[in-house]
Amino acid sequence: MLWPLLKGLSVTLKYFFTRPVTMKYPEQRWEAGPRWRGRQQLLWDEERGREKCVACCLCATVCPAQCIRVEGAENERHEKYPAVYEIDLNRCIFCGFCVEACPVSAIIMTGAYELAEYTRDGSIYGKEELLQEPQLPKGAERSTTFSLESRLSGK
Amino acid sequence: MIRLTIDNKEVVTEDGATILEAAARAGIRIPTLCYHEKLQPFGACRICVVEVEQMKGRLTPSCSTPATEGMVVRTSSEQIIKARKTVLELLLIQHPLDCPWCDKGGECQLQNLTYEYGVSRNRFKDKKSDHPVDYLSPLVERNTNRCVLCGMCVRVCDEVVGASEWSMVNRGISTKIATDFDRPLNCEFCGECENICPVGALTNRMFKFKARAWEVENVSTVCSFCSTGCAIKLSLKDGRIVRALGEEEGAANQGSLCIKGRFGYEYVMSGERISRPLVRKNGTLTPATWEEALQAVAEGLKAVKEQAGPGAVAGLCSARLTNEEAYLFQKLLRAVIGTNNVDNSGGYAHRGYSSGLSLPPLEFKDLQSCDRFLVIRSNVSETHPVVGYRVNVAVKQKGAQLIVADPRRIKLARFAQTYLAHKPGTEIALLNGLAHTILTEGLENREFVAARTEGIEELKKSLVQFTPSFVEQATGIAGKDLVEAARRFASGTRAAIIISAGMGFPGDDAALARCAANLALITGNAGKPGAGVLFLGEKSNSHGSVDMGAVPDLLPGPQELAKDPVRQAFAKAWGAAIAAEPGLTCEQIIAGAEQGSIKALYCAGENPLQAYPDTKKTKTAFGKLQFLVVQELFLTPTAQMAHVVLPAASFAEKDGTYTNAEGRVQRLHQALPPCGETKTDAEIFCRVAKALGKDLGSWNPAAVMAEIASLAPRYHAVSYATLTVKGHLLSDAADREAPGAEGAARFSLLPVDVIAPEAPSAEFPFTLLIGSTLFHCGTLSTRSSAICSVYPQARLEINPGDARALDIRDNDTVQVSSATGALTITAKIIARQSPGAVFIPYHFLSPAAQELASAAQLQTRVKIEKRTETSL
Ligand code: SF4
Ligand code: SF4
Ligand code: SF4
Ligand code: SF4
Ligand code: SF4
Ligand code: FES
Repeated sequence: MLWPLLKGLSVTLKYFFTRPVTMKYPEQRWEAGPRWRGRQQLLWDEERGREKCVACCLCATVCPAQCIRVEGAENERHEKYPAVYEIDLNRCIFCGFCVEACPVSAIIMTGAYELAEYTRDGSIYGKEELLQEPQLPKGAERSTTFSLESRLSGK
Repeated sequence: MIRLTIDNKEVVTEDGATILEAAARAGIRIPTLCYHEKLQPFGACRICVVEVEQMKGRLTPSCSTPATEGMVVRTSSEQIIKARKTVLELLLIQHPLDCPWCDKGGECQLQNLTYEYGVSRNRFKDKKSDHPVDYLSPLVERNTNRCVLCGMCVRVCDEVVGASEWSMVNRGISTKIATDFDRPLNCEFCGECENICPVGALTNRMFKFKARAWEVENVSTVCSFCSTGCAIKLSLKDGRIVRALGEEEGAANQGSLCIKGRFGYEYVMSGERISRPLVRKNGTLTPATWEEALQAVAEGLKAVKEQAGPGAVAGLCSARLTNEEAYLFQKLLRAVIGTNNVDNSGGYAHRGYSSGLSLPPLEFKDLQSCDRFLVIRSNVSETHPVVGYRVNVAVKQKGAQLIVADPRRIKLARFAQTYLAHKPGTEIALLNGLAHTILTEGLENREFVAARTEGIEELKKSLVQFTPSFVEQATGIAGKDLVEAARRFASGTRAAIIISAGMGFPGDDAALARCAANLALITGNAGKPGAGVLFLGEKSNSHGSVDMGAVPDLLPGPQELAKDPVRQAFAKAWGAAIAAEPGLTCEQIIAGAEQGSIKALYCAGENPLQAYPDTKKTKTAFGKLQFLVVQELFLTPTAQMAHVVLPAASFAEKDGTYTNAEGRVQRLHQALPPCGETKTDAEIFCRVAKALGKDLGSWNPAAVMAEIASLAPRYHAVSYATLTVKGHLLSDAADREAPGAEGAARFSLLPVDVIAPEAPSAEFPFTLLIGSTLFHCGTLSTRSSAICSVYPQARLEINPGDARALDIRDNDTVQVSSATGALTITAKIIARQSPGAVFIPYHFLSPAAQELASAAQLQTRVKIEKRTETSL
């Protein structure tokens, strides 16, 4: 009668004195591995002072969820650039095809996985947002830098 | 017929065909880069090489090697593939490979072939080409770095368009295509070169970076400008038109377009469109709901009808309404209001094909088999450019002979064997002079005249006075030139006479058409393909509007209103009595409004204050109207005077049909949702009728066409179910397919009237020619910014000699005045303008050429003064 009880307690006690396997989310945050396919980021070309994207629309064409919208335009140097670049993360299935299709390596998948929003519109990322590097949470102290609130407030 | 073997397949092909054409006939595809069926073979790219057994395995370009009897051809082998790959590698050495942002990407021949042949590495290396890109040319962008030197732009511009803007310069590796001294383009801006370029070297600026080729949805419809009726495809992305393409399948144009068709669609998406009904309240036009507006229209029309009878109401419609809408409009006036006072700009022009011309129209495709052309009172390469291309092709590629008679040295005059610069407005004397010469010299086709015509004696009698010396005096054409032209014309086997009509061509159309028909008949040019008279109406549905009875004296068909059985048939179908006396023409309607006998006017898409002669008179007349309703796309000068303005849908926002100048009924397909609250003209007519307490039936275009087909015998075979992109050629137009058949229709030769030569006046020494330019059509095209970027404003074209005499220099401001009005305008000195005459295009609001014209006279005489600083 007592023996099974002690046996069970011993397991409890063993785990009580080992390091925990869970994380105390949101105080602690897991950093995704380098090949994690989180929300996309558009890259900036420092040398030419413009986004790398040339609005070729191959990502939008290949996207199985049809969630990318690109509108090309001409800049003052007569180059093609994306006047509008939008990804609807509500529909994105994070397959990474967009990254694979891009002929100029202008788009990458990042580690950002905290993508919940209060509204659907909040999940439609425009060009400016996509050009921002997502602020990856590195632990409880720094987790507040993630721009969730700021995005909710419409910025 | 030639028999040959291609890839072990027996192929039979006609003499003169190339191997490529023979293969295409057998369904065997050979890749090409520099071949186009519209152009002469060129043999520049060598991608189309094949092996011919008789040539001992040597590779030969199939596009420029004629097929011969017993040839054994292989289109694919290891050697051939290797050769094609090498060609691609060579082309790609300097090629920039801008594919991601190149607008041709996705429909680029070089890209497709590179992919097809798997050319992923290049054995040759060199610097990438870095010619400067031409960003200055309007509408067409040139990036010669991407050019594969196929020469198609050069050839299409020369062989088809006839503008010869491009040429290849330099040699060897530094060859490139260029304009004279590499200046920006200054041409017709038809975009044919850009369209034919297999790569992204020439591209459409309006389409620039707007969409990728595979993203767009193409809607096939018909160009809304002239009566050539080119079939076009509107490419849509995100609910906006991003470009217009010629429909390769289109029977009227075979993929060709002019500037208006390719670059002129923008007006549809203009921010100036009226999107809500407007009703005049306390003197100003204020936005209203449809109910209010329709109520106001019904009340306005009813009031006039009750006070002054239905004869005080009149309707003017645009020749750009679809057939269905023109039909409903005249039905609204005839069956609901009860008046025959309905007309379109036909009252001033294009009457020729309803009265006067007894011949069926010519089919455009047959123009290419003509061997003689007489182009008279028709600047066809500007007003109907794509018809002009056909004439070019016949003359330049097929060796047809061309006679051009025009006071201005128009573009076609450059290729003409005979150019007759007659005095303005003397076309009838000239045509009769030609007929007279042919008859007196015995050059007529006696057999044909005897078998197929009647009235030759009367005709001869009425022509007696048109001797070469009389004609010389009247027209200013030397007698020997007239005789030469007559001989040239009569010596052909298939001759086409081309005449234009429209607001840009004032004059007596019916008489002119009759004289032209006489000339065609005495030379036996009727009843066979490629022979006869081509009468070109101005606007997209000029011909259809007459067919639909939107004219005072014709019912749909067109059938004569005067005939009792016809009227009864319609009265029965419409359930309303139809008045027997013909209604008033445009001119009479405006005169009636001035005198007060016309009290209410319904203008559906027509803009008389800008397009009709004598603006001042029209304005006073409209000012006296008790009720004016205008149904429009834009707040035109006419709409600004209206009591009610109803916003209408544009051609891209509706379904329907247009009938072009060759009698082809073609289908419009809706591409865009209606702009704002606009409705189609058809729907508005039906709703107006309902507000007046009558039912016009359904406004569904297919149903309306079914009703038309049941009432108009010519249209009885037209049905939406069977209309393809090739359209439907109206039946009497198809009759000419059976030439000379027993019992075939006999034609009447009609006697002609005597005309008195115009007396010059000392006060107004110049003749004013009001017309159309290449770049515009009607007044609508002035709302398209792309077109206005190359032709923004009307200019006075004046001959260098006249200009010198008046001390006018290019771009000087001059004052032009006539008996009816005056305007100031910039002068452009141009050698093609004949001395003693000046030209102003009429499309623009300011300076508005029509202010100078008078409806009563066929010709406008003006005086020109240079404006000096002090007089400004
Ligand atoms: S990850 Fe996949 S679904 Fe998401 S945007 Fe890219 S291609 Fe589309
Ligand atoms: S022309 Fe063709 S191959 Fe060249 S950059 Fe454009 S799409 Fe690519
Ligand atoms: S736009 Fe037309 S006229 Fe101008 S260069 Fe091209 S083909 Fe020739
Ligand atoms: S510009 Fe285009 S059409 Fe002209 S030669 Fe070059 S590749 Fe051919
Ligand atoms: S304006 Fe006339 S010729 Fe030009 S594209 Fe339109 S229908 Fe064709
Ligand atoms: S297509 Fe035959 S040589 Fe170019």
